[in-house]
Amino acid sequence: MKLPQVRPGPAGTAESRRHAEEVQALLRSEVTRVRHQAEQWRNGLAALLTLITTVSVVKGRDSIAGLTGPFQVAVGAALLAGLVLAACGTYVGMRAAYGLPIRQALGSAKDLRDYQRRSATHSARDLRWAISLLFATLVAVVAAVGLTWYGPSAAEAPVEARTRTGQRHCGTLTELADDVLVISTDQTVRIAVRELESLSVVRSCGS
Amino acid sequence: MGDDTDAAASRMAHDGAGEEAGSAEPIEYVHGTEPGLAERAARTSEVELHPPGRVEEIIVTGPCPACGDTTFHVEPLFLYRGATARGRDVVVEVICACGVAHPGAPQGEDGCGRSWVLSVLVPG
Repeated sequence: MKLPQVRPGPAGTAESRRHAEEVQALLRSEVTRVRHQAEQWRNGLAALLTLITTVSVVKGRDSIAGLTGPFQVAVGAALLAGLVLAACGTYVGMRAAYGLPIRQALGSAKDLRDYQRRSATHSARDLRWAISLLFATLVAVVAAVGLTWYGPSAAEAPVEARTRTGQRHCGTLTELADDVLVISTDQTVRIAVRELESLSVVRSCGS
Repeated sequence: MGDDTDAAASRMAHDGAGEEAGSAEPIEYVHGTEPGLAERAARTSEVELHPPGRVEEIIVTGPCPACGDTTFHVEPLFLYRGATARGRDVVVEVICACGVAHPGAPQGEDGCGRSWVLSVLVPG
């Protein structure tokens, strides 16, 4: 790139001077401002991480236990993803707020300015990542909660009973008492246990 | 560019003492600009686009046309970022930040208080 051409500019005014002073003040506080912002976001992420781990550990098992197998796996995966995303977000957020300890040669004013600009740029980039990870964490947690709330519970999973006479009944198991199995299909079917050849949980009552 | 003689001359013209830049008593702090500063600075300032290859900042270094001490100014171009800054005249108001303690300078000021405006044509 060619060197820039320099000429005397227009006469400075009080207004232009004030603007120039404000720009320089903003420039001086650039790194501090970005890092302060990052610190606040990091606090938010840390709070979210605490919330997820608390909910997962304290409440998680009860809620998940009632779900059918595939949904248990899906909820577990979503919670794990949320945890990993939140942990990554916290790390990146902390890096944005505090930076990493590095050795830096600051031989000249230009080196110092380079270092400041790099710090501000890296912090801003890390902060953007931390925010994205925060929202990704929220998505994973909401998915886990949604699956827990709306996923089919194991108790509601249909069962298929086959009798020794070759009949097949599929429906929801409602009762097992006095050696009699009660299955709700379109109507209530009562099957004596001794007539039962097999009983299995199925994904759905197909044709 | 980079010729300290002009700066020393400007300093001599300013305080009339005829001393070399950096060896005399610092001049009085004055908040504002003075006629001729921009013309002198345009001849003596070293202007650089930074970092090389991208246009993010204009860095102006060289002697302050008023006090003669070396000053360093960074003009951020984030608003004009990238290609849009190329081929443009960017007006840069430089404020002396020589770091020398000038009599009468308010707390926190690190120059002689003078400012001057340069017009920098960023190559396309």
